[in-house]
Amino acid sequence: MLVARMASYMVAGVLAAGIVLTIARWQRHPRISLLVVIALGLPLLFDFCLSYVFRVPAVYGWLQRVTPAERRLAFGTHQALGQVSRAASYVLFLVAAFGRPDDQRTEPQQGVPGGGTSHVRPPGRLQKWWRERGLSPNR
Amino acid sequence: MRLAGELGAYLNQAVMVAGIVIAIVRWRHHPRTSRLVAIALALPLFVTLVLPLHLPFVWQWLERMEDSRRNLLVCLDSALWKTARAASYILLLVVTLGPRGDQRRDDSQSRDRAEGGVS
Repeated sequence: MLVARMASYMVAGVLAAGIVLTIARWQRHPRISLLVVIALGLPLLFDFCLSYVFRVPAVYGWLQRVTPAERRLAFGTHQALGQVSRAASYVLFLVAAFGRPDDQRTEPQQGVPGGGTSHVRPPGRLQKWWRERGLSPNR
Repeated sequence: MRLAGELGAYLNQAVMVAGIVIAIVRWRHHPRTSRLVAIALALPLFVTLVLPLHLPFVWQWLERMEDSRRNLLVCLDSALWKTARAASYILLLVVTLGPRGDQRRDDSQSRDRAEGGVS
């Protein structure tokens, strides 16, 4: 029992340390940091902190008084929230890892070849066709 | 509500599998990121699938055991799964906040392009 609880604290510690580390590096990667803070905060809030809500004497007393069906509903909701928060956390991490980095999300600069960024998509054939005729496809 | 919890668990596993597939698909563009993400997502998934103490027949086998031994196994399973999760979060943090190998390559390419383009 102690081993499982220690492992729980370890996960919570990793999540909290990750949030602190991310906030410390906020200026370098603001967008990625925001995603990572939400990704770490969700499981910390719904998975770890919510389990402590059930240990609060008032909540614990209420759980003793309610019917078994209501108790199951409370624990089931907690479990579902924990699972969904973990899934959302992994999705956010994937977006942060594979999304475009902050320094490559700048607007294309006028007058610089290639638009000033390495990730500006070159014009397609249809776009070229419109340009050659002096037309704008956005009309 | 138990069903909701189980559906949540399946959703979690589906997200992990989808993440591994995305990592493999994007391996050429971001090799280092993809490798770390694949390891990070495979770790808890592997522990979940290899240690299926929640499966009915395994649970029946556990029911026949002594209480102390059963509790020990369940606690060890839980501890191992949580350790895998912690390791997974650490790897994902390294991926997202650490320097990207492919970004370094992109930077050098864009620098070369800028130097060539300006002249």
